[in-house]
Amino acid sequence: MSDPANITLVTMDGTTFTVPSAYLHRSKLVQDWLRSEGDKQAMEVKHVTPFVLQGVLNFCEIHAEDTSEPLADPADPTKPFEADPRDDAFRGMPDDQLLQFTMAADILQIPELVRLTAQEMASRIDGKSPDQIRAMFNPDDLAEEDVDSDNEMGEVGEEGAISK
Amino acid sequence: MPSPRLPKELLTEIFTLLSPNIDALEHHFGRSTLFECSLVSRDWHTAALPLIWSYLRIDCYNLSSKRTFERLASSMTGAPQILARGIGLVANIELIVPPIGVEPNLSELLPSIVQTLQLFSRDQLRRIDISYMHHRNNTFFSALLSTLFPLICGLQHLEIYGISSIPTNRQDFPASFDRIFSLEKVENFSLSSLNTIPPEYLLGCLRTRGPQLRRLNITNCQSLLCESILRAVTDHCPNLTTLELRLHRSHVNPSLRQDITENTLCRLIDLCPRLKELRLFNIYAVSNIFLAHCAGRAHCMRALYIHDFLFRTTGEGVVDLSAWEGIRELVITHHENAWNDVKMDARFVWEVERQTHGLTVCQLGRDCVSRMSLGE
Repeated sequence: MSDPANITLVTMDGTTFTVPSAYLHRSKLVQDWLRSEGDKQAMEVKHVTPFVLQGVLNFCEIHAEDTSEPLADPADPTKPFEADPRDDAFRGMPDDQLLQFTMAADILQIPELVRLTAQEMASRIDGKSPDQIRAMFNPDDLAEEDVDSDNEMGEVGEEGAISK
Repeated sequence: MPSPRLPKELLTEIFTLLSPNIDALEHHFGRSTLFECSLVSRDWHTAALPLIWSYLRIDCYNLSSKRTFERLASSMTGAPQILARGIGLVANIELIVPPIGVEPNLSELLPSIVQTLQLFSRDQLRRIDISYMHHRNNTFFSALLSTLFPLICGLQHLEIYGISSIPTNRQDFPASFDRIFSLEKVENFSLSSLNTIPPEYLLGCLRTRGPQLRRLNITNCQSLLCESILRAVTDHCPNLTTLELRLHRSHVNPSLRQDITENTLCRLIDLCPRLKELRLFNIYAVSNIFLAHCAGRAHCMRALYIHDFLFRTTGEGVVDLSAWEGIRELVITHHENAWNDVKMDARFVWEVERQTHGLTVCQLGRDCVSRMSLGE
């Protein structure tokens, strides 16, 4: 049986991280796992690389003793978001890493980290064209029918602008 | 190689942080960032479209509205079909009816707007905000209401703002106006600046559908800020969580006496036990007795805002705050400018500091509770 004071996480390539369970008290996924399968040796965190998991755990350690109320999941977008200087590392990371951290925050269900990375993604996207956004985050390729759909959508915007 | 695909829920969370609350047409006209996001990829398109189209503003002021709404109306029969898909996603509409003389030719505009409204399916709309600006365009307004009523049986949130000249008797309200009060599923109801609306319209609504009401806001409707309405609230709305009664001093008609009693305000606390948010602005009956009743019994209260220009709510004698263990916002003012406000009773201020623990907003007269000013 694992030590209840610590939790071991295993990433997609088998790398293990053992940290105090208290670090992850805001992770709904971890809390659910501790309740249902806490007697197992380690929790697998598939789809997360060691580099990203290390960053997530750093965030959790920094905020382990925060006493603020947990955020709703999903967070209420109308609530003001106050940047915390302790999170500057997340705001300075490259686009592809930011995307991976956003995914990891979502997988581990940590609303505070989801809000932080989502806010950062939103501020980077703001004012950008579709081509610029594709260059930043390289999302899934467009299928033929999607191109048609997008063009159609674009026409509406162009015509809307003219009609105004 | 494409990056990992963000799930739709996550994209939605990101997109909700992007745009101010602008309507579907403005997203298109202005090519908002959200609109640009919808052109990035299939996943992004799927996540952005419901947000782009969630809210549609039908502004009869706008001279270009006619052509825009003709395009929307034609979307059911001709290209582009994307408009028809978008219309199917609209949950909230804002309807702005201008005063006569300011509008473009309303009779010319009416058919295209009615056709647009008819694109909505029954039960589709969840929220309508109506700005109703003048009683003299009743024909236009009645035609819109007649079109809307069959479509809004599922409406949960209704806000009506009256602006400009005020009707003086029932006959001046548009035909069908009273049907607004018969909507069966409305949970959030807000009425603003409809100064002489007949109280029986709202009384009937409260008596028959009171138990489902969660939020009620009556602002600057002097004819509704009366004892009979508040009694109906206390007697028929046990599930109310938010109540706002507000009268701006500039809207006070000296010939209409406000007859709400202190006793009924106290009954409100007893008979609406789920009240989380209560805002009373220039309600004359607010007093220290009411404040004491609230502090000792309103266990669900999270936000209490009182503006008492008669300076009756000083906190004197209010020492038992045992029901306010969960209160987060407490604001009691008497003057528009905090510097000119009075000092409230020192014992009451001290008891607030001592007995409440989760306040994030607190102003008591000219004082902010010190714990709050330290941000603890």
